[in-house]
Amino acid sequence: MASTAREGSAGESISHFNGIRMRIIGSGNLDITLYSLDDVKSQTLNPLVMQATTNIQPLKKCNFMQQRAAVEFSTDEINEYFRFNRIIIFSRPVFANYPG
Amino acid sequence: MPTFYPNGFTAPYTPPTWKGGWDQTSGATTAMFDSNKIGQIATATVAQTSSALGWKVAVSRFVSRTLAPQTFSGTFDFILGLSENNAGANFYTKIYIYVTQGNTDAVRGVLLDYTESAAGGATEWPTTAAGVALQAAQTLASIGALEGDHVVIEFGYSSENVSGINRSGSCRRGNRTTSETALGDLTVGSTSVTTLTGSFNFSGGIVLSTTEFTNLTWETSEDLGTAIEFSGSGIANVNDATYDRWYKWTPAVSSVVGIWFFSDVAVGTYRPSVQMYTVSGSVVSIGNMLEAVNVPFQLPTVAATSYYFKVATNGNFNPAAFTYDFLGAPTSQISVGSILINDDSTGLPGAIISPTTGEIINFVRDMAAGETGDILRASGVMALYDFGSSSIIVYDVDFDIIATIAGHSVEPEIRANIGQNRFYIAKDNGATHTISMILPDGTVSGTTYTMTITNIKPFAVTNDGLYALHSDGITTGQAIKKWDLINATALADFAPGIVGYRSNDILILSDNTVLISFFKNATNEFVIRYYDSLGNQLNEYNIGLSTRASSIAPRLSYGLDDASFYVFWHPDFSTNRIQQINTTTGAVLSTLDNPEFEFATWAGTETATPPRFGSSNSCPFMVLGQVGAITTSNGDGTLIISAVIINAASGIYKLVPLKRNDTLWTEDFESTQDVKIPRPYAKTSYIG
Repeated sequence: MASTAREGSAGESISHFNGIRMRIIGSGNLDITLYSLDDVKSQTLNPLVMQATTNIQPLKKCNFMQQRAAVEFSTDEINEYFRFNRIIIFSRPVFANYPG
Repeated sequence: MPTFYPNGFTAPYTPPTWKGGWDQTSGATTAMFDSNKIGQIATATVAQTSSALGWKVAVSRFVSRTLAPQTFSGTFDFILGLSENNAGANFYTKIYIYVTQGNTDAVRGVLLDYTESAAGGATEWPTTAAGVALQAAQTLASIGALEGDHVVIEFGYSSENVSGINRSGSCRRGNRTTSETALGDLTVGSTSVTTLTGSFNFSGGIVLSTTEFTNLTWETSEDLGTAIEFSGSGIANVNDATYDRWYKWTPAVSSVVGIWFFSDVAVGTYRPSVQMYTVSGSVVSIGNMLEAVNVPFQLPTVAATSYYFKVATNGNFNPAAFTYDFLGAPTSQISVGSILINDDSTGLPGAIISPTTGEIINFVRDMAAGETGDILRASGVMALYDFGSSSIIVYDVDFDIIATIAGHSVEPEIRANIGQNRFYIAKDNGATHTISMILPDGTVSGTTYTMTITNIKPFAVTNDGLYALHSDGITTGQAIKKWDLINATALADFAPGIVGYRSNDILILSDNTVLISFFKNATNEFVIRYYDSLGNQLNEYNIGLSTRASSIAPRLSYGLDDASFYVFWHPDFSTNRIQQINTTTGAVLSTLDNPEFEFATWAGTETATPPRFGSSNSCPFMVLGQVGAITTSNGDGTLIISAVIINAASGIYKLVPLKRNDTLWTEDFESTQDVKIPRPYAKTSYIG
């Protein structure tokens, strides 16, 4: 899968956010949701079942096309927890901007 | 030639989609075709929405009963009473016949796809309705059908309309007169389309499933599968031959399910009679349910247990067709003020009623069944008499059993005592009663008292635990008596009775005021009197006329505080009415009406839209003040109501390394409980 690592904002181009790779340990189900600017649009992914120890950095695919996106990770049951060491979010620009 | 008839009866299965490449299916109807002549004659008419050349309009669709395994062969033809409403319509027959894959929308195979036309030499539909056949019998494709499949005949017209005006075409179906006399067969060209019946002719025949029209037994029941919610139809009588229909159902999960076998509510029409059984060595009934005739009933189920339903012929109706509908009960979370009404028939669930709508919001599937019981205001602990085990069963606020107190072959009186925070039990020994106490943890106190009284019906102990108020609940006009528990002596009467009335319930509030209900069996009049602690009457409330006999007299229950109490009575024979009453003024604060289901069966009249769930009519009822989350509980895998008493503002704030939850005080501040942190999350900054 082609990917682009960037720093800072790419401006107004519309990007396709297509994957999240995590170096993560924890317990329970990790709920993952992508949000657009101002949380107008969102996409909730299937939860990730976390392990206390693991040799795998899981990749969760997503399909979210926005100008900018934030990813929220959460849990919703008692005694669930998560600990990130690294998060990579894959995206590529698709369109330059919305019609003027 | 094996003949079948388009009978206009409810199709045994209705495919969601039409298959024949129609331009228009709006207005088309779906019905049954069968080897028996059933259903009164009727006309289906569909007007085209376009007069375009070749516009194909579906008029009717006919579905067979379930098939036996077979491979189709031979030819197909029909004779139907057809007509077009204008000579310029130029309608020609279009027909599409296929085999379903069981009760699914999938096609096993297409038997015939055929459209007639003027160019092909066919004759258009007549403007005066008459018997019409195909131009020539058509050969069917060789399709192999499996047990449970159906044949579907999609029938309509292909328009060669040249008038530019939308026209309509009609097709007759049904095989009996309005007096249910079977009609003779229509012939080609005959205009007797309302006195003779059309037919479908399969030269190779159709072999219908043998399981559908034989007298079944519970061993040969038709299997309804494992789903909780579904519907279907069956027939118990065709051509004056009657059949017992048996159905087997094995729900995959434990729950409470509303079940309804119904036909028509019109007078003189078939009303299916249903009896319900489990099989455990022999056939036995559940919860004293005797028979449901055209009305719903509710069944608490255990996962992977088979239940059997016998649909009887219930008279000689022709046809005797019915529909069944299974519906899962609500499993909503209960809230403060919800009402619990347990049943008085063993095996039936306790009903939870919404404090705002009066509708069923949940059931406690496995609950004691009896006529006495009460709830402790402080903790939500309940004690209920259970007929089946001759025991008092004590439940915690989660509806988990915390104690079973056996040895009550005669139903005891059970009344909560607010001041002592315990239940007082009056056990009937015949000439005497033993008064014992059940504590909130379900243990029985070591202290007992003896009352040398023969009959004790309404019964309550004062908040100081020293005196019992009682009467026998039988004798009209009897005074409310007072008994010294410590010294085992009768004292002066607490209050006089009411001439013609007998008392039913006694509540002693935390301020020692007393509420007593009285019921007059002869006139159904129902009053409640409010007394001070010395027996001086402070007020009297006339609630209404409760339509039930004295054995199902109105009941009282404590409110969540002394400001109000609740009364449960019957304004008619199918309504359980629960009203919250202002203690000092008698003003009605709220009224909840819940459908009455006695022996699990709807007690009201047969209607097309009956309530599907309800509560029993003569039982103790309790106002739930301590409620919370819904969890699985009760040790049997059933989703029932649970409750957690948490003082939500009592967080214990101290740093604990690696702690992954919040700790709160419970309401009594005597212990703590860990709960989840509301919603821990991490969110990245915006990317892209």
